[in-house]
This record gives sequence, C-alpha cells and structure tokens, in this order.
Amino acid sequence: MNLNISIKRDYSRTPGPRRIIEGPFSGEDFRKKILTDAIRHAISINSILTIDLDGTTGYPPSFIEESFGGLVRYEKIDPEQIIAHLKIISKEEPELIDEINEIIRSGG
Amino acid sequence: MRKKTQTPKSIKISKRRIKLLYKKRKKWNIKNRTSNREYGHLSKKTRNHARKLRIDKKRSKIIRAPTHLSLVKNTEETLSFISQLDESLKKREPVLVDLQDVTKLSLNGVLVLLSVMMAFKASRIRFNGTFPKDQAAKDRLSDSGFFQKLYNNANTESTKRKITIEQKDTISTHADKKVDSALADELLTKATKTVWGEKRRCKGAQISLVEMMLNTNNHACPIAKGGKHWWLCVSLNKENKTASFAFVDYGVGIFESLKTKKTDHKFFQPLQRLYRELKDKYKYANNAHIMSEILAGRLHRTSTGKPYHGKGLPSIYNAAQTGKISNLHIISNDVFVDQAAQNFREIKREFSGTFIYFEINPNCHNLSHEP
Repeated sequence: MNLNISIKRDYSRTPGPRRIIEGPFSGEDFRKKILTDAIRHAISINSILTIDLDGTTGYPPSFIEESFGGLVRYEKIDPEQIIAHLKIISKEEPELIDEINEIIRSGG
Repeated sequence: MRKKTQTPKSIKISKRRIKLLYKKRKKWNIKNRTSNREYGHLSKKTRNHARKLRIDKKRSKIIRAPTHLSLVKNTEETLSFISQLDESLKKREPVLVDLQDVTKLSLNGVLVLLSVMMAFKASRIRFNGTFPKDQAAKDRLSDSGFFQKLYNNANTESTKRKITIEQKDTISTHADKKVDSALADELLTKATKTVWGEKRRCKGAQISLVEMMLNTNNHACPIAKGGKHWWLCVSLNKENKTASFAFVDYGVGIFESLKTKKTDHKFFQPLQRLYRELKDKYKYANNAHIMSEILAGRLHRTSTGKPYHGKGLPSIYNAAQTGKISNLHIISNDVFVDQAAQNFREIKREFSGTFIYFEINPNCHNLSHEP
C-alpha cells in the first residue's frame, strides 16, 4: 500500500464535486477508492500517510470537505488518529493544510 | 315563364356578388404583387422565413429587447425583457422576440436569451424572432452559435444531458446537468492562452466554475437533484487579453432555495419557514444585506441545514477578493452583486434563477500549467 499519495498523479488533475452522483472525480470517490484504505493502513502499521495536493487545477471546498471530513463522518475513524498519521504537502496553497486539519478536528 | 335567375331581383344580387368578388380578387392581387416585389429576389428559405414572420407578427406576442442587452451593464431593462419572456413561457403563449433595436449585445445577454428560448423549445411553444439591425450585434449573435442550437432538430432539456455549441475560436457555449471539472479545466486552459499567451492554471476560476455547477445540480430544482441545466458561455478577447465567463441556471434562485430547509418538519415546514423569514426581516435590512453577509462568510446558510455545507458561494467571492478572478457579478432572485464596486443592492425585477459573471485578465493570480 502506497503511503505517498499525489492527488494529481494517483487520482485526478481536476478534482470535482462532493458526491459521486454529482459528477466525476468527486471527494466521495477519492475517499472510497484511495484515502480510506491508505489512512487505515498507515494507522495499522503506525506510519505516516503523506498526501501531496500540488499540481491540480484546484480544490473546491466541497471536495476537500467530503474527502477528509468524510473519514470521520462516514468511515468512523478517530480524528486524533487521522491527524497523528497524516501529513499534507501543499506548496501552492499552504492555507489548505490548516483547513483540512480543522475539518478533521471538527468531526466532519 | 321567366327563369328564376333572370328576374330583376336575382340579376341585381348576382351583379352585387360579382362586384364583391372582383374587389376581393383585386385586393389579393395587390397583396401578392407587393410581396413578390419585396421578396421575389430572395431565396426560397428566406421567403418562407419572411412569410412565417408575417404570420407570427399577427398571432404572437411581440416582446422587444432593450437596445443594450446585458445583465451586467443594463440589469433592470434586460431583466424586464427576460421576465416578459418568462411570463409568456408560463402562459404558453407564442412569442416574437424583436431584436431589431439591439445595438449592444453582450455575451451574458446572449446566454440568458438562449437559455430562455431553449425552454420554449423544450415546452414546444411557438417562437420566432427578428435580427438586430446593427451589423455588429447581428454578427455577435450569429458567432455565438445561438441559431445553430436553437434551430436544429435535437430535443433539449428534458432528454439531453450535455449540450455543446462551439462556434468559433473566440466563443463557446456549454450546458449540462452534472458537474464537469474536466470541461472547466479545458475551457480555462484555452482562456489562459488568450490571456497569458501560454497554458496556465487558474485555481480560483476552476474552483468557482465547479462550485457554480455544483450549486445548480444540488439546489436549482426543488424537486430533484440534477433537474436543471446550467449554461456556461466563454468569450475570449485577444485585444484586451481577457476571458469572460457567463454562467446561468433557471432554477429557483439562491434565496428561494434557502427558504426551504430539507431538515424542516414535514407538517410544520410553513411555520418554520415563516419564523425564519420574520427573523431575517428583523435582523437584516433586505436580501442584499443577507447576501453580503453570506458571501463574506459572516453568515452561514444552507438549504440542507448541515454545518459542513454552504462554502461554495463564499469561496467564489473569496476568489474575487483575493484577485484570482475579476469583475465578479451575481444576480439571483431580487439581489444584484458587483464585487469590485462592493455594491450589494435589491433589484425591482426578480430573476428566477442564478446568474454569475466573472473575467480573468493578466493581473489574476495564476500558476504554471505543469508544476
């Protein structure tokens, strides 16, 4: 299981809407196909999952919220565990790092 | 015995009849001679169109467009024109759209007119129109692909999900019911070539387009998600190095969709709705004030009632405030927003739907296409 995910390389250059029913490359799709298994694996082997957000066309707030907030809301993973085993890289939009941490802490 | 037809009375009656028939024939001849003189030199297609136009002028309601058809620069008159079309659509009465006096025709005006006429077509209501007399306005209308889409045989809103009219290099029109982030990227890549002379990434513009499509998909139709089309028109200006984006949907509008919350009780919904309206009336001056609070992120409102929703509009406004997009205008229900002038005002004519316009220019924030 890959613990270094680049959204541009491993998922899509054009992140889309919130849910699968709304259109392609949704946050729900990203979470179900890639993110959930990766974070669970990182937690199980006590390692760090690195997610690189750079290189895409931009992240609609709905995409970000559904991907990361959904880990707590739907996948029922403990927020503190997620934060302890997750590292976000975002040189193009550094403000996204705090935003994602806030979304996870608020419980989705 | 004399025959009945040869009595003085019957002769008098037949002479009168012959006189009347002669008058009718003369009138008919004059009419056709005139029409042949006017139209005889034209092609059969044009003559047929002219004939249909003459008929429609008598049978249809004539709706005159303002001289400057633009929701951004001439909001009240354009909205008045659109609302007249809307009323005729609801009454199912045939219309003749008179564009003869139009001298300035903007991209957003064309888009809004096209989306309304497509609704007429989908409802199978008869319509026709006249060209602008001004040649520049006429060319702009033709270049936009307006007629190409309106007069082809394909059925529209109810059956086809995705509609594309790509006419020339400088203008393209798209419609869909779902969110298409790849299309937004494709259009932006083309636009950036005009603005910066090379492919660039405009994150603010991309996020804004995706959120607009998402709002239409989720909220425009009160009955079901994805019930209404959104329309997007992109115009590229090589001289000014500007790309203009006009987005419209004919849903219920932002404020109407916020009035009914999906978390409301099944039986007490009217009371809950009334309570919220009274609360707003007490706390805020009008919808324009509420809109300014929502866009600035100071007031959180969603139709779903969920705390993690409702970030789309603030993100679009924030993109304009931080220089990622420019010249942002929003019109929905009775509210008009001009972000650059910080103008939030009520408009007299309501717009049932949502219209958003923005531009990208060389001053907008951008990144290299491939990092």
